[in-house]
Amino acid sequence: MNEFNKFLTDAAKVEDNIVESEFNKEVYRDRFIVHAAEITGTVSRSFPLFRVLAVAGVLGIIVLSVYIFQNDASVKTLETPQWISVRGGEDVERTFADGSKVVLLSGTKARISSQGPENKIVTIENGMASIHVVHHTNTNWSVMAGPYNVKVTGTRFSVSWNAETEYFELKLFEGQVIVNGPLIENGQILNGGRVLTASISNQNVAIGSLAGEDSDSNSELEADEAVKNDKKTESKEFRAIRKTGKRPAAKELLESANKMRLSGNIDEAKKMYLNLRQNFSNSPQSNTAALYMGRMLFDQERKYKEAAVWLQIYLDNQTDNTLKRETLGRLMEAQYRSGMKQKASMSAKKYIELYPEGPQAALAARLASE
Amino acid sequence: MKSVTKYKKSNISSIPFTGDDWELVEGVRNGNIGACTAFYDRYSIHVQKVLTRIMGPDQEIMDLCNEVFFQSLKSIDKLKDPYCLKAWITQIAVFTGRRCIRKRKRTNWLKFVPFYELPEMDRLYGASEIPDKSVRDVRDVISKLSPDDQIVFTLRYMEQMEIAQIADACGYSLRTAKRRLASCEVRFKKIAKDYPLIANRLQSSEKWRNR
Repeated sequence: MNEFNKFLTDAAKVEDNIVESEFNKEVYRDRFIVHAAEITGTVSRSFPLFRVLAVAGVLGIIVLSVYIFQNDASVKTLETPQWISVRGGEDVERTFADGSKVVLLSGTKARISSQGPENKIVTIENGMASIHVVHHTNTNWSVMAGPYNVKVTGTRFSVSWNAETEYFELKLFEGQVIVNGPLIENGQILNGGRVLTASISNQNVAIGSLAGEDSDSNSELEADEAVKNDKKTESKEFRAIRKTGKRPAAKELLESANKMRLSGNIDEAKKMYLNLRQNFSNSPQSNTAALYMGRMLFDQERKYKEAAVWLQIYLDNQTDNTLKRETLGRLMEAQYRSGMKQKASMSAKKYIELYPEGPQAALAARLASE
Repeated sequence: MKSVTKYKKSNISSIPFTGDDWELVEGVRNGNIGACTAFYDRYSIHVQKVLTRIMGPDQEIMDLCNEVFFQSLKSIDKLKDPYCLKAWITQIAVFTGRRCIRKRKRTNWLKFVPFYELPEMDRLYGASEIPDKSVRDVRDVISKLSPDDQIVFTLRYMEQMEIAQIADACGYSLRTAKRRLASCEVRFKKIAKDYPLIANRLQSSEKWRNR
């Protein structure tokens, strides 16, 4: 290599060093992982029909808006509805300029749109919302929960609609509302302290007090409630398994839990793994669940201390050497990252002893010497 | 000692996704987030190097690096041979870098100084222990080449890639790559005349002096 070429390669090394020192790569790696989950989620859905329908939908809305605007100049512009899908464990709260408040509970899918500053429309596709409307002379709030329409002036209530079971519930804490919909086509006035439930599939409507007494069909209401509460605690996967009428096998449960884990539904996956370990403690899947639990806590939640515990459980109960090298490497990393340097050092020594040529041998050597 | 350097980065941040490139690609196609992470861990250093060669130690390098990976995730279904994953992602990195340079050159008229003379670039270079100004100067000279010339020149002389690999990464035929390399060498020498430090180094190198 001639002198100038050598200078150019040296310059390249200098530039590499600048980049190495300038950027915190972990931040970019984390950012990538978060976005990768979104991208991989869209890859499977990105078929042309979906896009065509989306474009057609947008064009349809534009044409309709222009048509309405041209035909009736007095119509106030309909603002773009805000689509909200509440995922994870936290509720979503929206506060409006007039002091009104909408809280969408976890798992709810809803749209909030407005027609002018006074007219608000909350559409609940599925789930539960707690709404507090501050009364004003011009206030006009409308809440659509599935096929039910609740006309509101000033009041505080919670409303839920389960699209799957076709179950509607309205708990009115104060004020007065008028509810319209299937089984109550003529409208039902509801006063504060009352609860209205409607089950379309059972063709049943019930009105009761919030305290539970004076219910017109209490038993049915309670039964519905029990099913509803029960369903809240179990995942779709569990429900699907339950519908088949037989107890899920460990293998099925593990597969379902893995699906949950890979789709990012960590809480459900955790429940399933724990369930598997409790109910099938002697099965080989039980130990595999411990491994996946550890991996999930490591990769997705970055809870290294907890991850280390689960990985250690997996290694302690292992009957063969499947993934032993990888798990030991990861355990060492988890212990190091959670500050358990002494344990990390011990794991590292073990790693070097067992896998001196392993892919994490260099890291193990470093940790062992610390 | 060499092996320590080689595995250092991947060991700290990698997820033990066992499997070769074929399995990795399958995992990514199936939306396995572990495979996606392994994909990033396995090739991020390479992509980052290619981008640094093309663009210099730019402040957007890591953003562009992530952009390369997002692009590759979106178009992973188009990859015909999973064993060509490295060459494929190199091509995406080159195209991403080229697009960025072109975009900057197009909007350059809005600025009073070229991007490589912006204060943040001074800070970047100033942070390292550079023996003299010539490293900075060589980047200045490269920046004055056309985007395509920049890519060919830096990949050949700074990254030490073979001409066939460059042709593959840039989407050229071998003949075109050779021709472009020859022409950009001439241009580089011409521009370097305004930079005494680089000109002196060129003069002291017999091979470059006679080109």
